[in-house]
Amino acid sequence: MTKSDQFYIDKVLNGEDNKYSVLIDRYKDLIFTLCYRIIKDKENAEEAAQDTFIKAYKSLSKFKGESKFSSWIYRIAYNTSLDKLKHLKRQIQTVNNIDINELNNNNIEQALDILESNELKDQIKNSIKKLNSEDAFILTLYYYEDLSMQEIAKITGHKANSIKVRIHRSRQKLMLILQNQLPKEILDTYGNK
Amino acid sequence: MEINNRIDKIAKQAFDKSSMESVNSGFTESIMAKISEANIANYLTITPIINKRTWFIISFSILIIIILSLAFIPANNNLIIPNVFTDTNFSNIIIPNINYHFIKINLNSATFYSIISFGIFFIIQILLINKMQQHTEA
Repeated sequence: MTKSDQFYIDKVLNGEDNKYSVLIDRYKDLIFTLCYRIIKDKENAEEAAQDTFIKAYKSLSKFKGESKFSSWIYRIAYNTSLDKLKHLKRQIQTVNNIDINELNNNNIEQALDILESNELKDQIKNSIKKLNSEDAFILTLYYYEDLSMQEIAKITGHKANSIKVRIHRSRQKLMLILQNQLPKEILDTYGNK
Repeated sequence: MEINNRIDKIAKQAFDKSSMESVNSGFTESIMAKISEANIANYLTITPIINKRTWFIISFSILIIIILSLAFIPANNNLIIPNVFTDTNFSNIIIPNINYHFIKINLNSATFYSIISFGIFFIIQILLINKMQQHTEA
């Protein structure tokens, strides 16, 4: 039976530092993914993920269990990644200025049919990478972690309504990017069916 | 509406399909090593008994005393500090023309005594800190 996060937190706070590795193993991939969604560079994202776990360890005594440990550490990852991004001052090529009105119903129908019927892992990964850092972070929490808008609002410090609007707009952006990124051969193959 | 539902469904699939990014092997060990190093460093670091804020308050108070004494205490209350160098006349022994380099310093007596008091308390404090530190380590 899997023991709860709180069980390991209590162990660490009682001096069993090595138990912290269980918590790291439990969250490392998701934390790294969240950092990568914001920073969009694997090396720096891994550094941010490490910093996140070290900061969480140092502040573990301040974790009162009022929220889930996962939400608490996602918030640390969010702030750490944004700080790292600011520090790097990287100009990430995202699609902030994309016009979602381009999401033409006729074209999107065809793109959606293709997307539903194809394994397009690489295209999907590239499309997510082109999303604005915060949008990609929010969508990951919403779709992958199934967090509610209120929970995401608490993690990011935005209002729930603004998260709702952001999710709506950013998934439309994602669809448009995906549509524009579909390989020509897939479009051709599908068009001939 | 139907398109929105399909977009929602595909977005969900996209985030499932895209799968998680994976960290390099040794990620956990690296963090645990850093935590261990940090713990050792914390153990070895001697935290100062007088923190920066207290030092700032002490320095600021001394500065205020000096300024106030210079500004408000009458000039005839001046004290002439005996100039050890000029009185003893080391000039021919150590540095030629030393009298030329050291002029007599005129200080207000209150300023002078406050500096001397500060010096004495500073030395006492250092001795006390040393004693307390030895007590803590024991």
